[in-house]
Amino acid sequence: MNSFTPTSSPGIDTAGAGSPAGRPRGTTVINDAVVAKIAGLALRDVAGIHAVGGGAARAFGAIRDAISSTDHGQGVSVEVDENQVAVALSIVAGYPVPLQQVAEDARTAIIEAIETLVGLQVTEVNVTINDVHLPDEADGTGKADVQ
Amino acid sequence: MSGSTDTLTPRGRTRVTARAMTRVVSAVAAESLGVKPGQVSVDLADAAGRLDLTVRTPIRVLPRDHLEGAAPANGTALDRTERAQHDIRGTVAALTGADIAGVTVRLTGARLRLPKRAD
Repeated sequence: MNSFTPTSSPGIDTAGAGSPAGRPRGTTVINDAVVAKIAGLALRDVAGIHAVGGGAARAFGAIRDAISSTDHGQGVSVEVDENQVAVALSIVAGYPVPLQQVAEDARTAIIEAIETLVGLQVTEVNVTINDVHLPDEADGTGKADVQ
Repeated sequence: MSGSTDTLTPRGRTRVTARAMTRVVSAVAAESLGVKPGQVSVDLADAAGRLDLTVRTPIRVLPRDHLEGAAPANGTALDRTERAQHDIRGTVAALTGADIAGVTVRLTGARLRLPKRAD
């Protein structure tokens, strides 16, 4: 699997600061939903993402948006184990953008956000490009084929 | 799902679903042949771990009375299809990162469309 140097976690010290024996002095629990939300918010600045989430999540998301309670963790699922986290992300990409690049940008953004804001070590971010949004699909079917 | 491609990166896997792949292929083919993405049908097949594409599409042609000279400036339907086939291979590979084994383009019909009037 992947291994890398754990980052320091500013603000949160899950190992318990100042314990001389090196034993933890209690644990900090960060709810998975918080981690997912932070990951979801990190995606706002990634170019080439049309939407986050699969079909069902997006349909449900549209309803949530309408009642202005947007779920920022939509399309993001996290699995936290001790102080490590694995993220699965599902997105709809724009067109024409290089999909591998969008996935990599999303991955980098999520890793950076989680490692700096939450202080968890990210083991992997699995990105699924669910669909690609074509621009002309939006402007309806009005354009005639034969003029 | 069959037709989806997985790419391993140092920190996680990237999966492009068959649906996303189909969408990209139909958009590239449509652009290349002057039709709409919805008119293009795409089949994805596995060729020993690589991706084999079959594209069924109409082609956009000019009516005969609009032709000046023997063939349109951008080539015969066959030339254009061959160019489209190369476009599809190159652009789809660049956009999706898929390893493409082959591209088959089948023309299913011709759509007549007049060139846009220059204002």
